[in-house]
Amino acid sequence: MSMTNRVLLGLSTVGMLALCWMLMTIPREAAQGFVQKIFYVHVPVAWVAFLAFGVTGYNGLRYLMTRDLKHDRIAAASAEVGVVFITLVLITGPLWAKPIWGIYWTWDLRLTTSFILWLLYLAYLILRRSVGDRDRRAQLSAVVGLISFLDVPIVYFANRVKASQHPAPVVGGGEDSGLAPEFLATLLIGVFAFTVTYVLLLRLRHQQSRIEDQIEELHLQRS
Amino acid sequence: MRSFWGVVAAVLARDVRAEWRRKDIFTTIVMFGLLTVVVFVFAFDPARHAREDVVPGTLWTAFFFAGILGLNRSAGRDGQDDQISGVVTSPADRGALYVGKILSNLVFMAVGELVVLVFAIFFFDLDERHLTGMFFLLLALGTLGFLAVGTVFAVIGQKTRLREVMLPVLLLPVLTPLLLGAVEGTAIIFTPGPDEGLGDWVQLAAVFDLIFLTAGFLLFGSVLEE
Amino acid sequence: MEVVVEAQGLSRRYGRFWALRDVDLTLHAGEAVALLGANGAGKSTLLSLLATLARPSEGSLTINGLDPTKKAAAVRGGMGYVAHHTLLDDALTAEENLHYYAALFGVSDAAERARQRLHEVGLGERAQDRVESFSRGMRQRLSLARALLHDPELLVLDEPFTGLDAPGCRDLATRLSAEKERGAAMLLATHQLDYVLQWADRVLVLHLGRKVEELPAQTYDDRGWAAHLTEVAAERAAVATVRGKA
Repeated sequence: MSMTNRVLLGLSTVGMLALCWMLMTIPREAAQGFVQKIFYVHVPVAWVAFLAFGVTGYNGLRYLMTRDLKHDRIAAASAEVGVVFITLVLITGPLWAKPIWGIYWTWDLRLTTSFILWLLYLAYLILRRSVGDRDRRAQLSAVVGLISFLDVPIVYFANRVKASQHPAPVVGGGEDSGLAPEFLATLLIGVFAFTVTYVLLLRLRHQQSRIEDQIEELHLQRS
Repeated sequence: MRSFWGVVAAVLARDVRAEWRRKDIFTTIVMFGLLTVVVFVFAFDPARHAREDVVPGTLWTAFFFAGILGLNRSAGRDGQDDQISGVVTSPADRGALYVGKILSNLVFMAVGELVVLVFAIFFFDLDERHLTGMFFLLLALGTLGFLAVGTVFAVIGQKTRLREVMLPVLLLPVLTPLLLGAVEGTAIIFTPGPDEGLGDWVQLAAVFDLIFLTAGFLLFGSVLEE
Repeated sequence: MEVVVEAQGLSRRYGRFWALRDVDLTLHAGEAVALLGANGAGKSTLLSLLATLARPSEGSLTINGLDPTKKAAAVRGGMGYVAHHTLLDDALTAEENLHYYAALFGVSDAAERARQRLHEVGLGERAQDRVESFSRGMRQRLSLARALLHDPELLVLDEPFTGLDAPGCRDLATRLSAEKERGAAMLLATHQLDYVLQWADRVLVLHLGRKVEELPAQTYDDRGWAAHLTEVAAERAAVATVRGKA
């Protein structure tokens, strides 16, 4: 494992351990009790899921501009890692919602946006699996990734308009619920830990796909 | 500049002319639109559910699903006899090709939507006074947004192993905000009383259209090339 | 005579398979090269690279001095492509198809040119008829008219004689050699050598994606080629067996 990856692994481990420790030591939140601690996982993984999709969209654009397969590899790797994170969002959401609000799911602003993001990820990955030719796959994925990424803010705003016209309870509190200092620190540690983990996984997955492409090249040289 | 609009006009003329003679895209959109409405009538009995709850969603679902089939037929036909290679090997401006395709698909969808609307007025006992200018504006914006992304994705779909199936998989998630806006806006229009909040939805649809028409215009060439 | 096509080390792969490998080719204005080879030898691949339908995986290609991957529109404006498929919409008339392509190619006085080209390929009477009523041979002729509409400097033809009867083949051969006289450069793949050898300049033979022969049309000997290919095939089979055992 390369030096950079070792460092990332170290940081990720430290971050996760710190998060666990903080989760065990911070006081329970007044209204929601123990389950509220899922928030410190739910929010960071959501942040990473959106970040990863941005990386996919951006690298798709770069591929279209340069036709360098490196960008396609990064875009694909980010999507594969990101889909895991968005799935975690959709799992931790209901785990949090059910004990506290009594429902598994609600079509509120954030959960709806997360769900659509999940669908966009899946569509992207399904597309990649249905194109055999390497260059064509890169080309078409880049276009879809870019368009899908442009869609995300629009999904958010559309649901915000809906929320403003049909007020309904929001899972996890409204947009302006504040956080006491030790809660904020925990959240930031969570964001740090999961972001570093994402970068590590992205790099590993990208290296793997680079090696796959290199093997293809070797086969070609032989034939 | 003249050849840009020349290409747009040529694509529009060719698509409309060919469709006038074959009528299969139109048939697809109308039949499937009507059938979707019928399915929803049985799924949500208009006698038991409030009309304003059911009709907007039914209409827009019918338009989108029928539109997907129409787009697939249109893209499939462009692949026949490898006509798409004829277009790719020409120097025609890719943006012009995109605009031409959007316009011709718009014509087909508009006709299909009007037929479905007439049908819906009859079966849902819709008050014609609800079909105001604002309604048609929303209809146009929604259809345009649908086509802005759909035209690009339809070509992509043809190039994959899943072919026709790929289009709805790619398109529907991206269109959800537009669908939301169209249905909510239509519901506001059809509900008696002031059209409060309609402006927000129309604005959303317009922004959607602007963003994706621009993106499609710039990206269509990438999708056509090998 | 200006160079219309300059290709060096041209290669194209599909996944792990090299459809075309390391092909050099130079075409001057007014030169016609017949492309020969068994099915799967790479003829269609080479033609699609020149037709800008695919990008080379390796090697360089310039058409009229331009790089098709960078100046695609300019290259396409001077290139005409005839394929296995007709590239025509059969719900439209012959005339309508040509008008459509004229607009795509930015051809001025489209109506006049279309009329002229239709007449040249012997479809003048059928201009207003829908392509769906045309025979295979007629469609091929219309497809050629479509490719010639913008007076291209380069003609790329993939088995243009397919589906034509003897008079049709003779007609087409006359047409193509006339284009050659006009100064067009031409690369055409065909199995119908008899109609081509009299007026083509060179013959290029592909086998398993590689160029195995390029020689003047007059010195080309059909039997020699067949024997050579059998030899090459046997050699490769032997190599493959050795590799398989290793």
